[in-house]
Amino acid sequence: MEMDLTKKFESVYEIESDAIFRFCLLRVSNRETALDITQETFLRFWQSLQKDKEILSNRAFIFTIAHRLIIDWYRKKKSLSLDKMLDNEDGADYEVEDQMSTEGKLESSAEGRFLIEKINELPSSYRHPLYLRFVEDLSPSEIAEIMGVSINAASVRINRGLIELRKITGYEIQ
Amino acid sequence: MKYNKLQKGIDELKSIKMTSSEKELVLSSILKSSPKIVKPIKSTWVSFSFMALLERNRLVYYIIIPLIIVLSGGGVVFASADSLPNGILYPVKVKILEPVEGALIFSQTAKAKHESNLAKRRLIEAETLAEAGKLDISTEDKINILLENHTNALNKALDKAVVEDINSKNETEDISTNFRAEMNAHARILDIITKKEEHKNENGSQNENQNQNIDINTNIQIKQDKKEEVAKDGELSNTARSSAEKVKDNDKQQEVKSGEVYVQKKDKIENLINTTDKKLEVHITEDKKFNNRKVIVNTSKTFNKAKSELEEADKKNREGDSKEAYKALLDSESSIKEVNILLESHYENEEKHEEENHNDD
Repeated sequence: MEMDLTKKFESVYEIESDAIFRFCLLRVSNRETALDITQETFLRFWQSLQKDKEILSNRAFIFTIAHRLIIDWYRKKKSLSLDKMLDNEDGADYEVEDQMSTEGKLESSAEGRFLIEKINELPSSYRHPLYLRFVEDLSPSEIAEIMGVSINAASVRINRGLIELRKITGYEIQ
Repeated sequence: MKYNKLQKGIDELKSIKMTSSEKELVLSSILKSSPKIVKPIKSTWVSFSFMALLERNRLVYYIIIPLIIVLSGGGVVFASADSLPNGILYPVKVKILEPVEGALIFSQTAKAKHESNLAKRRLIEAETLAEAGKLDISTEDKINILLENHTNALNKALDKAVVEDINSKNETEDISTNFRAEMNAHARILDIITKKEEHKNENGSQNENQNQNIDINTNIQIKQDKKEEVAKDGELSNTARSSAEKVKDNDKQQEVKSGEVYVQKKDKIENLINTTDKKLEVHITEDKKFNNRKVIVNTSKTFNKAKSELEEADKKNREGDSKEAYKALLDSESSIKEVNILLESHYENEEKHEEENHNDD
């Protein structure tokens, strides 16, 4: 039983770990942090498996965990930066939140970087559904589960996001 | 061309991966670090537990939980039934329990009876508090408002009862004369208690002054304060008397009764006067036997008033003014009922002492 569970976890980890890592890295822009969040995501998934929790879609479940952990990380980082800024009166050490670190820039080449920059320019309600649909190939139902919206709403966001992306990139997307 | 650029961008993004060593490291740390979750061992007695019962049958939720709520709520309501105006549960009694009771009564006559009883209950509560020396100004105001509300509700119910059923007139008359008698009698009882308390307080403050030699000015101030409170105390009995008058005014609106009804009513009142007279006789003889005191003057006055009102009714009837005659008859009935209430209450003795003290003075 225990062996089956481990095997199941390992197979899911093998398939999804890169996608989760990528998802984290493109949002936190730091390799170490992305690795930490990926590890935490899979740790929680592993604990859920051990507790016999009912999981309908492993993929959507793992992405949901990662999505929430990233939100938590941003919240923590924001409060830390504010403390830092208050400590230092002239604010010279203050780091811009969304600035890509050196490691982040090295990860992708010109087209990839351009694409992710443009996706990040989109409103957040379009940004995540669009990324999950086209980069991670998730279905609208899985995206709906991660974002906590209806399937219909997820599809609408994907389509509208696509139109917005076409406007700002000039790509002819079908 | 541009579409290819998009695909190329996506492919480049997809090429972002963990290194195999990172993958290994993360996997091994997850499998090592996570402590094995031990499932709790089920007790053999669990199937008999209350929670197990809830888990087995969800329907129990819908029965037991509302039952608990009803029982605990019912407990509070039950406990509030005997609460007094200065108690915590008193608002539950006057704002929930009594209105609900009233809402469940559909006949207007019964509703009028209910309101009359509630008004009586308010005065008894005031008497209980006054006797314990706990009737303060705010409580008195509270009771005053409630008493006025009950009187208004009673008047409305009496009006509706007559419209609803013309045959219920005799019953509504009874309710209204009873109410007037109760209000006047309890107003008098309340006055007796208030005077007694006032007397006690005066004696108390005099003793205190003698013992402690307090400054004269302070004494005057204390006396004045107490007088103000006493003066305020009279308000409730005044409200009770005015409530009785309100119901009396309501009676005036009634149409002229036929001769037969008048005779029946008169016979009833005469019987009542005779039995009350006997009761008074008993009181006089008992009084003479034990301590040779004079009988209650005020109660006797009310008794005589009842008699004279009856005579007046007869006179008016002979003159042909049947409306006024019937009115005087109702006044007489109310007065004689008031005498009965006073005789039955234990406060008559107090009044006896009062009267005797006045005579001695």
